[in-house]
Amino acid sequence: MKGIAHFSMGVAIASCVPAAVRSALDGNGWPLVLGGIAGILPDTLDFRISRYLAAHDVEIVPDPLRPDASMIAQGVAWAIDRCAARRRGIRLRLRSIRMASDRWQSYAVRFDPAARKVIVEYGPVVDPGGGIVCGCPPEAGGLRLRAEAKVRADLRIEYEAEISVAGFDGPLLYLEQMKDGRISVGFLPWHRRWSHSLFLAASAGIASWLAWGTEAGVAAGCAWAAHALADHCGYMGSNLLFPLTARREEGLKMMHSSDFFPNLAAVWASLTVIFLNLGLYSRPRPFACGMAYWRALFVGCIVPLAVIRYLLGRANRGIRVEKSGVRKKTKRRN
Amino acid sequence: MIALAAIIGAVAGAAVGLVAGCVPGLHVYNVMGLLAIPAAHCAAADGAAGVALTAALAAMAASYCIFSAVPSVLFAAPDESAVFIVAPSQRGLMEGRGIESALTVMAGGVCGVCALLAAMPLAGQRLASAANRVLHPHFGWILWSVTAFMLLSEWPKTGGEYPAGWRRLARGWMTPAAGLLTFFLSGFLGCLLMQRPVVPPSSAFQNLMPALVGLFTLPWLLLNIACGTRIPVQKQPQPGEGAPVPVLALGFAAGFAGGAFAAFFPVVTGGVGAMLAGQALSVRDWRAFLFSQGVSRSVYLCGSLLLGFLPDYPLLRGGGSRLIASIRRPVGQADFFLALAAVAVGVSLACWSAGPALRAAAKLIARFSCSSISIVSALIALLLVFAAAGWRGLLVACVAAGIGLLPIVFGSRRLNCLGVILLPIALEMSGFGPDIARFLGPLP
Repeated sequence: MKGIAHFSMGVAIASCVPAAVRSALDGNGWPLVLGGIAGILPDTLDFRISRYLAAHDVEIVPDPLRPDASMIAQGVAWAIDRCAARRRGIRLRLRSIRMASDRWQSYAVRFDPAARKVIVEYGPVVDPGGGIVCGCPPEAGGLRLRAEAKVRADLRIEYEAEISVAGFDGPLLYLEQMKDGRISVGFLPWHRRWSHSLFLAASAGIASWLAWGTEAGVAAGCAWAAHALADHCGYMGSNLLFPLTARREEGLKMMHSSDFFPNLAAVWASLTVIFLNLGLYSRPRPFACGMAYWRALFVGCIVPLAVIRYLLGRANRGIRVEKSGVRKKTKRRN
Repeated sequence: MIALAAIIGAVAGAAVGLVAGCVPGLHVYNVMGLLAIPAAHCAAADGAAGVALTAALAAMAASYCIFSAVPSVLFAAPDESAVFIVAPSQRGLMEGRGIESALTVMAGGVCGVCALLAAMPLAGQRLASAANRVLHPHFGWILWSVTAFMLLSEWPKTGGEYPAGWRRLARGWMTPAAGLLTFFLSGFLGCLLMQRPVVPPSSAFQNLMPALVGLFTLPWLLLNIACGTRIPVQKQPQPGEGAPVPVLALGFAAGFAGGAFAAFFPVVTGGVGAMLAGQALSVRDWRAFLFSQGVSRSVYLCGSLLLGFLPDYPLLRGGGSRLIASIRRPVGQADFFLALAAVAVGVSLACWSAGPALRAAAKLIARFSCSSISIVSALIALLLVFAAAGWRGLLVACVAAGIGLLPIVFGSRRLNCLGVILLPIALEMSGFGPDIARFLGPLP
């Protein structure tokens, strides 16, 4: 999930600790702020530290002036074959193609396990947010903007079959031979390993408890754990049982971390919970405890989110129908 | 008679707002501040004049928030709440789509005000009073939360060119470190200015102006002067070229949520609010982003002002409503609807004038080089600083410009410059004000 969703969830969880809200009313809101910080910290540690310490064995560096998809495809296929031949894990970095300080020439690497192929295709020039700056293809100069390369080994996709390389320094893949001989393609091996674990959540809780008291400890520990659990609902998963386990477990695949609705729902629900929890302790209280709290939660959070979900579902269905051309048939029948 | 005075006041105020919106580095609060003392005397002497001045100031804020898109987008001279607009709109400008960018921001502003005008009489009173009752004791830590999120959510952008290890980590940390440095330096400057104002007490409302001009307006202008960029001829947008409605609807939702958040919470500006809401709503399209920034800015400026006019539960948020309250305290439904009408007048006048103003700005860009326009804009901004705060103000603006250049040089977020307001106010709200005063020592 996005940073703001984790942060607001952290504050919401901290606001469920009555002592933290009472302390905020007395002028010390640190446990609530700490909840937010602990909520976002696992990603901050990964993206600000782990990312830079993760080494690679093979790096593919496309030339910004001579776009050549076949070089990238052959390089990826070579790394996969080498991993199969050596029976050793290979960390493969796909370097992004930077065109200016805030724009990248995107390209996508797609793994096709059925056809044992790696397909590479150049895409548009994009900005850091992924927005298209220029949709026209780059000047190929006789070279290819789409290419395929065969691999010898069977592939197993851990995260997604298509990886878009469009921003910052490019993703790191981890190629590893499994017991059944297939080559597993892992995405960002440095992400969600040790930082997204219940052990670290407990450690953060204990450290905060020792430093700032019980409410801070509970807030920090629970917010950290909530981050790891929420991310586990996605595709990449997390290593919840670190240090007992070394591998990142596959996620529950209920959503993508950048999906619109889950992030909106998380932020909306968190803000509603924060508001209601703060309201429980304000004088005069804007609503009574007990059923009134749950009614307010239902009206302020569940109903609007259900409406948004329904509208989004209808809009998406419309787009899908339009793409597949079924709508025309339906119209004729009517 | 009073009604006529109010109409004349609103039209005159809107006209002043349009002019203020076109001047780089000039914020509407500075103009309102300059008018505050004479206006208070007039209002005390004559009731009709008080009504007219109230309408004038409300209309001024409304027309300014629409028209300030012109210098922000076309001359790269933003204020603190338009700082996010510059990077995407400069890209549009370099692609010949500057007018489209400015129109997108302005259209966002108009839509934001329209939604606000519809929402305020219906739900403004109930929502604002309920939210204020619950959240008022918690403003301090909420402000710290916004600050913490702002600082923690900036990812490093560089370092890929080095092999994995500490060197790469150090290179990668340059961006967030520059961001942190910018935040704390601007925060320290803010603390210093709040403890030791550079302006006399009679014009205390101008105290932060030199720092804001230095942090937000001057750096882009200096960059434009240094780079000598050539701006291409600007294309006139054609019908059908605009962003699709769903994209704009997303931008509107993000902008309205962000603007409402910024209008309600003290110190949080429209840009910060839109950034937070934009992250929550995944606003990625540049047109949706610009639209959301326009919506957020207008909802923030007009919303904070209108909160001060709520009939039974007025909330003083932002400089605008405080300045108006110092001239004449709004009372009851009549003043509330007067403010709504004045805001509508201001926005209408801005809409009518948008086309000619944008065409004139495009001609200006075509006729003069970017660096000449930037030099003139910088001189105007510095002149305003000098007029408001004298030599000491100019010195503060120069120091602030140095801090404001850090994010541009290191590629970090310009949002960190908001430390100038966030840090001192958050410290003050948390009760650290006396400690800061002690740390900074006695006044010279």
